[in-house]
Amino acid sequence: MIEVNKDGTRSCCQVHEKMTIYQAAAMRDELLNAYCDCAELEVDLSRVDEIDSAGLQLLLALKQTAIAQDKPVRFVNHSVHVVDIIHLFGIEQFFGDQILMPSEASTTH
Amino acid sequence: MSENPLDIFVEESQELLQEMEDILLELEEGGDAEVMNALFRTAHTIKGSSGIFGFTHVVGFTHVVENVLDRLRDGEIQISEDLVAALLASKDHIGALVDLAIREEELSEALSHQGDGILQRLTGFQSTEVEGASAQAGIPAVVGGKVERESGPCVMTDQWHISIRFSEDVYRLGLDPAPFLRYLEKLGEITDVTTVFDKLPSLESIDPESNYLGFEISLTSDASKTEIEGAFEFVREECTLYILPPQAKISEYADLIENLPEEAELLGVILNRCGALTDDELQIALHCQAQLREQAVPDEASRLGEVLVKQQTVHPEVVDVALEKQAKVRAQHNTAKSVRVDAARLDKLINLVGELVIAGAGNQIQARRIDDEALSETVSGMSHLVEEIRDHALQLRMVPIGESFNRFNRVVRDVSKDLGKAIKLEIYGADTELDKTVIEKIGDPLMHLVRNAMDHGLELPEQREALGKPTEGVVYLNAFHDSGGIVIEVADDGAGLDPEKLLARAREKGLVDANQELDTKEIYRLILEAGFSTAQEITDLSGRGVGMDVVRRNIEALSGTVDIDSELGEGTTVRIRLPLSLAIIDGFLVGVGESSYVIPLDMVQECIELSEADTQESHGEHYINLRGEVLPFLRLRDVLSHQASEHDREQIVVVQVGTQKAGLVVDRLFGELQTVIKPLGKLFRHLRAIRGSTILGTGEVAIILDVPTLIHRAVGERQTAVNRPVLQTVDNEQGARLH
Repeated sequence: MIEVNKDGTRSCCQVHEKMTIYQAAAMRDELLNAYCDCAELEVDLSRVDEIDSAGLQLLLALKQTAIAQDKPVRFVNHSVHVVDIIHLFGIEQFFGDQILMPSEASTTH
Repeated sequence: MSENPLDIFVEESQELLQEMEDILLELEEGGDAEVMNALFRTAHTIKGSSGIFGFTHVVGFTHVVENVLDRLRDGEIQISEDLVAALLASKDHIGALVDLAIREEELSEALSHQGDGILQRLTGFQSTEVEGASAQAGIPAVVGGKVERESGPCVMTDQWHISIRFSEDVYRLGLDPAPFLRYLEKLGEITDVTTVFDKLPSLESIDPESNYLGFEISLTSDASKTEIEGAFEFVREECTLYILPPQAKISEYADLIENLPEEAELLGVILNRCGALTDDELQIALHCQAQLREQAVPDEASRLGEVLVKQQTVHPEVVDVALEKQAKVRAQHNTAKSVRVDAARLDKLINLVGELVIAGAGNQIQARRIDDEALSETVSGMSHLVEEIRDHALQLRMVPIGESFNRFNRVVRDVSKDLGKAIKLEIYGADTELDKTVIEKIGDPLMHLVRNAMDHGLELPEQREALGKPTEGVVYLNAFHDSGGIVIEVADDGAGLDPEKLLARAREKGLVDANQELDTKEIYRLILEAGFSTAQEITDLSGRGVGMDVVRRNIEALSGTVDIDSELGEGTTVRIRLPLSLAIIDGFLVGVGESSYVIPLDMVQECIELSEADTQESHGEHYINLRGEVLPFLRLRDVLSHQASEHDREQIVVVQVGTQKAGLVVDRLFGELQTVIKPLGKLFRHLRAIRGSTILGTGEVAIILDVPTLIHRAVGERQTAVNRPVLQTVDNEQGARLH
């Protein structure tokens, strides 16, 4: 479900295709493993082509856990589906400023 | 009259409102003068009782409804779909107003908006002379004496503010919050969304299938409150929803802050950031909220007194007399001779009867030991009486299932409109009686099954027409007694399940191995597995594959079973089998090692000896030949980790649940006894083969076995033991049955 590339203490993981309630349980375990197994984590979301609230909730939990433990976790290459739900839920700020939004205007309310 | 008049009012109004709903739903198919009269009476009585308590909001609103019903009764207006819809909405609103009045809360702007909307819909139906009254009823500030908070300052914002917290189970019910937000975008412009996730646990401790999200939304829209509320209709029962109109009172925001689960400060910041409240407004709101909190500790005991004193309209004696009079009138109406009993008292009685059963069993053992003829006789006479008392006491808790079936009328009506399908609900066996506690717990699973049947089972009218079926789909609810248990069926005449598609899907999901063969029943059961969705396309309503497994788990928690029948193109039937009572059962006592175990008697088919020859013939496999039938068995000694005993002869107790049979190998058979089920503590809840414990007459503890789980295990073990050629054994089995 996710593919981890380790480079020393830094890991890069690629999330594949779906992040929905069906995958939520397994996805949590894999994300947790990847997270615990490194000192710095980059999560590539370019291949996510379906995400729902349960999926997004996992990303939120990962980020929140990382912030609490002061471990660098970055989300990169958000696919349109991910950007779409982040925008819908109004949580761009929480994920930091690495997201390329389709239009600047829509983020500034 | 020992009961508190207010309690009587609450109960009575709930009954009347239910009656009103039932009649309205029937009315859609036409009704006679008597029905119309009964309908009018419901509103009339509620108005009357509310007047006694001085619940002016209820009186004002109900007055308009009563007027419409009066004209309906006199034939001045005709029943129509619109009217029924408006009246159903009115009924819900009266319920909400009554709740509010009882909780002694002020009429909120939100509720009063809702009321206005409904009154508007009723305008066309009421006579001109009450138009004035309706207008008055619509403006809450005019009625009632306590107005100090109603005229509070308003906030500046011209946006709607929506606070929504979805329940933890929302995913498991197959719902996702995201589509609801997307739908809101259609109603207007969402100017700000704040996702509230302060409850979100760390990645380590999160339950990935629970929801922890909530939202604060600012919406610019011309839509009415009802329309906005409508957006959340499907999740209405699975969320806490507050909708504040533009320029709402600051006090309403204070209520909001008080009622939401988050910390006041956090919410304040959110509301401030999303532009709902300015800094100053926020300060006032927080101050108000603090005051609210102080006020919100009413002394329970003095509640009724408070109401009366506050209203200062009537003396307590007047209330009593008036209510007594109404109670008499009611008694004449339905001469059904029943007594209201507190459910807790009933439970206590059942518990005592349970103890009596245990004590009786102890007596019997002592009598047998003393072996005195006269004593034996009196003891056996008494145990007969105890048995009868037990049966009658359990009978007291039995309630016809019809009442819980009836609420589906409304659900089916609402959902069929939403889905654009014509659906009729047919109910059979509404008189079938079932233990009250079971009925309470069966509601949610049934709701899920009914929704599933409507959403996935039934086709759209056009499709049905093309298939040569009547355009109107039917959902059946049926209940009947069957061998010591009750069977509830939820059926539809829709598309049915396609075993090939199901199997393909299960393989795709990895739930079934590619070369594993399953019979049709087993394939149907796949839809009860976690993470399995049968719908080709996922709708917002259901069908995300997280749901049917929850239904199954709920039923199994009640010691019940679920099985599914289907005919492609003809429909699907989901059959739930439940024990009649959860408290006391007839049991069959067996011994394994030094311990005693109880098997529910109605599941026991027969007992046979497990001979040396049988054991050898089975070649270490876990099945024997029972008169030409393959009977899988389990050694309880192994399952329950007992030391091998010295017993030379083992016995097999053949048990059956539904159509599945298995043998349980035990050391000794003791015979029948009445068993009072005591629940096990939390510590043991994860043990799957055990359903509860009981105390024997000797004072010893015996464990009650969970037979469905054991059968499942025996059958499963056999299949793995036989290593793949499952098909072959199934053939043998069927062949053997033919002889």
